[in-house]
Amino acid sequence: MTTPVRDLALLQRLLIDTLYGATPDPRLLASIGVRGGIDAEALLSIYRNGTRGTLYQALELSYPAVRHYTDADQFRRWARAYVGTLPSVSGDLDRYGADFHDFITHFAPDRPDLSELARLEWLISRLMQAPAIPALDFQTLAGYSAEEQAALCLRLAPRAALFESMQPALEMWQAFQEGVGSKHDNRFEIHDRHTLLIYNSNDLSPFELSMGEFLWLANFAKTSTLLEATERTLSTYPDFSLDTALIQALTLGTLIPAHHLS
Amino acid sequence: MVDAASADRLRIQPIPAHAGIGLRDAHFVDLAEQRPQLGWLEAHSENFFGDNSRRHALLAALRAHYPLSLHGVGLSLGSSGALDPVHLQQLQTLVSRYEPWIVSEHLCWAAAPDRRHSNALLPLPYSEEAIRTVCAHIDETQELLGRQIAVENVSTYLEFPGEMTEWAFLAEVARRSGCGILLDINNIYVNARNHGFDPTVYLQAMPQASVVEYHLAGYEDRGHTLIDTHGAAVHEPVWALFQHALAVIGPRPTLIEWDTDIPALPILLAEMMHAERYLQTHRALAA
Repeated sequence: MTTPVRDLALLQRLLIDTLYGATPDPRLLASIGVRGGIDAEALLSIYRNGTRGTLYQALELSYPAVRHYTDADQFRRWARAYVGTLPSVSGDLDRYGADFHDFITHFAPDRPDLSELARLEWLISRLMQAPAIPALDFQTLAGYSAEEQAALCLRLAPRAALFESMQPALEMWQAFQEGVGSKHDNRFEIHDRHTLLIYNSNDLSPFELSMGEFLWLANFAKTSTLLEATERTLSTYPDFSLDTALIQALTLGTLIPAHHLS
Repeated sequence: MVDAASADRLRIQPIPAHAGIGLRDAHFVDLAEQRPQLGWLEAHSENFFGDNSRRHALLAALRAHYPLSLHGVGLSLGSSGALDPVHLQQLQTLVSRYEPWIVSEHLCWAAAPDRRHSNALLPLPYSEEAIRTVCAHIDETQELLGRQIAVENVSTYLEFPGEMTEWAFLAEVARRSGCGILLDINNIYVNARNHGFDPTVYLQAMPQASVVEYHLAGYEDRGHTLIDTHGAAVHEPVWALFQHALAVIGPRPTLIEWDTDIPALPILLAEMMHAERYLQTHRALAA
């Protein structure tokens, strides 16, 4: 006869195993009180279905455009596989589903547009949750000497992100937002895009960048000085214009002094 | 675990015993525009983690008009592992920002020691080890927030036969940790039906002074089990049990929860007024 589990940590591990698809451990089953002719497995299935349903719904809420361009059954198959493979690790459901685009790549290699759309949707959802931090502006920059400007440590603002894709993910997302995209739409063109996304005043604004501008801003994904970023960019794109890129960054509020994040 | 002086310093500052509603996205705009008369609002803490400026602007506008409660669903006080520091920090930021009259969480667990999270309200065994675990986590949360929190009894669909009853477990957690009790009347009824006990015995066992709030909601009857779906009007037996709670424990701020199949705002407000009428009667009796 199997002995019921008394240790809290073990009981919790066995129950979570079951919720994420494992066959219930006999020790877990022996720990559950049976009532009214309902067996322990049936009672566990209430919780298992609840967890799965919650996580499917979280993916649907995080990826509405992917869901829109996909058959409901297909989305649910992907969601089921994802939930079975990558458990939630947070009580905040907004943090669940970060790797969904990788999963779509694996399950639907013929639909790279959907995988890229998922990557874009996750990026946008992070921008919407990011704090608004005062960006570097013309006046502040002008207050520094030329040497100080060159040595200034900068980062991309939390509400700014770079998105590079060969797929028409941004066009699909915009069409979905405008209510005009359909799952059978094939009017989206494939071409290499380098985009700056800015979330501000409850709106997302995309800006097309040149390769040089994109690379220059990519330096600020980690803290970099203006001088380092510009030298790296010029080594690859000799025609890169710092003036143009800097004016655009200051106008859009793309960069913040790195110490604002500390 | 908490001495008397600390407990006084931390204690929940109660609001008058009126009825309120849970804040759901479907009603955000109507509430902001119409500002209906209601006792208070409860927001789910996790829905306001992060800095979504539109959502925070709406919540701030409502907070300026109504008393606000922050009610968490994901902290997992009963986990044998450590509390999630990111979750705690986000909760602390939110509490500082909105200064709610009460911060509450569920008396349950959701995450395994290896951090896999069920995002569900899972039942605890009613054991001494579980009491120690929960109380340590309540202490940690109350210390961090600098205030007393309340814990809510959850609905359960299975039980781990253990060392004590659910009501003894809840009362002991409140006694040792100094937390308040958010008593969900619907959950008591659901558990009474699911596990076969007399719900009035549960109410009698509650330490009156610890009970700071009531929740009411609708359940779904699936034959062998009642499920706490929050997807229907409050059922008659739950209203009856609520009246019994008012008589035994007394009037407290009372919330109508409705999370699935969410009705139009007037229907929710009518349900709230139903609770308010019971509260009025018992306030008058108490006076």
